[in-house]
Amino acid sequence: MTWRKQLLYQLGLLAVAIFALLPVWLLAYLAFDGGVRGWPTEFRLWPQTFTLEVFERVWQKPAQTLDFVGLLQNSLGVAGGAAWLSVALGASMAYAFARWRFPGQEPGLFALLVGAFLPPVALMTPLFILLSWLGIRTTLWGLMVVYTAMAMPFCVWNMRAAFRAVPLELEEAAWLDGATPWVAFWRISLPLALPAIAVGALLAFLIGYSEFALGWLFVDKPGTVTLAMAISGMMQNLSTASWSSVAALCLLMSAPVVAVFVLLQHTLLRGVVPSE
Amino acid sequence: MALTDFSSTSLRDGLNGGVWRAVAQGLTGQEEAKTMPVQFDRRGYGREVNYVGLNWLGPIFTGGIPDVLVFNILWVVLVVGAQTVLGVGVALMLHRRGLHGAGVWRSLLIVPWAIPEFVGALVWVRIMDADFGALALASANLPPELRVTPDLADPGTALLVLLVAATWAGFPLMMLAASAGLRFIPAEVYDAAHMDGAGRLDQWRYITWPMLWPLVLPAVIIRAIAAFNQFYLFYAIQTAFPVITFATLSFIFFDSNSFFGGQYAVSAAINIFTVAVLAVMVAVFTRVARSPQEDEA
Repeated sequence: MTWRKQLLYQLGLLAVAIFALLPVWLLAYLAFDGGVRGWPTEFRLWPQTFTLEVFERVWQKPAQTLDFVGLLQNSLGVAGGAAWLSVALGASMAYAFARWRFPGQEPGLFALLVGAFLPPVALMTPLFILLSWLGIRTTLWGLMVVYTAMAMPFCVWNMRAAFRAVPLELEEAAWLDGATPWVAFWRISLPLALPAIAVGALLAFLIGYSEFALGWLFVDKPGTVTLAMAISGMMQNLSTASWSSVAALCLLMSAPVVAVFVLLQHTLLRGVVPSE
Repeated sequence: MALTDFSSTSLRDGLNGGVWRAVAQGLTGQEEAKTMPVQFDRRGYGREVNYVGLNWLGPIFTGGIPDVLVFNILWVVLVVGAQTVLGVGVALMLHRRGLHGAGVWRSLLIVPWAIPEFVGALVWVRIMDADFGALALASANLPPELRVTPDLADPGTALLVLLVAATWAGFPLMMLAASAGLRFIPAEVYDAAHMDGAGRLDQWRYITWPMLWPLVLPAVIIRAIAAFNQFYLFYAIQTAFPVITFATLSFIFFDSNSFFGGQYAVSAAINIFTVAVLAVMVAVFTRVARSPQEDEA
């Protein structure tokens, strides 16, 4: 890459980054400026008086009941569980759809999407009845199951596409060397499809991490509130909870996601098809 | 009435099998299909479940709703198009050999995805507000012709504002899906193409796109469905009819606080219609979008 091209690329990426981070910048401005009540009526690039007071406040008492750590634990449990479940259940299903021929393969793949056709809100009442009947409605497990169901269509489709992109010859070579189909799947296809699996897992995680409407409907104990629910609760009465608190909580909430992504992206997005 | 107020007669009767009884009676001719909105009072309270036949789907096709269908499909095409172009474009830039700081850029660019959709929507409203929006405030001291004061009452401007916000929220998934997909294309293919004298454009046309497309297709489909059902954005940025999606329309009929509110049957009919439209849309799309490799397999 010549330096001229390098500069061009960096400038292009900078432009996209400004677009992507503009709202985040505003959230940060609101969160760090203690003097702002409501939405600011004049424009400033930097907070007038820099303070961490808002962060301290939402850290200790973001919602009526739990502190931030408690909310985060609930959110991570639900979202992490949903991510893990959709990958564990979805990978085997996606592999079957990608590699084997069986009756109802095409309709089955299509039928998976039908579950995603309606906005989740439209399914509130049926889900409420179903989860109550199963006796898990008011638990975090119930939410985890629902979020997994919401994420599965994408996870299966995405992983199926990845498994199809893994050359069949690689698996055949493994079989010739005496590997069972299971070993070929576990040792060859699964690691090669890892980037697509990671994208699916991240999507499932973020569905569970940011959903709040179903959460508020199902949950009836103060101990099972998640972070997203706390933020949406705050936004319901913005007159009392100021924009600053919402912004601070929102930044605190997105920090773990970005941190995990930074840590894992090199492992997960490494070049997978051996090229040397 | 809360969604789950099971003491409401119609809901309770429905759960106890009233819907099936009414449908059976209607289908066997024991009860005539009721005509049209009259028997639903404003709050939808306290009614038995009645079979209304297919009559409710009628107004969807006649009373101004075709406009919404046209807009809804236009919206899907624009949003998914913008998200895909930006997401895949950025992924390609980040994939270039020798680019510095690709990891840092990628980490910065996924941040919008980590912000909950409803917060993002509201922040964009606050950025685009004509009086106190960040853009309006930032440009307040500039000469009048350079000031940015978006007029959300104008459908074109409203559409643009909505598009910007939707693209912002949706492109990180496309970027990651494309980044993951690009890892499947071995470098030798490009080296071979280079040796055969293929230019950048040929490489894109004959190698990158055909190999990448099946791998971003799932993200495109999921985003298309999500865009068709887009709700929070339209809820946050109140726009004029017909700049509205079916999901939003369904909510307006459902929400007992709104002018048309409490008409659950209309809401349900819109949802049934949504499923039908999406089924056709996805079926057509997966057929058209199938790549040559898929057909060989």
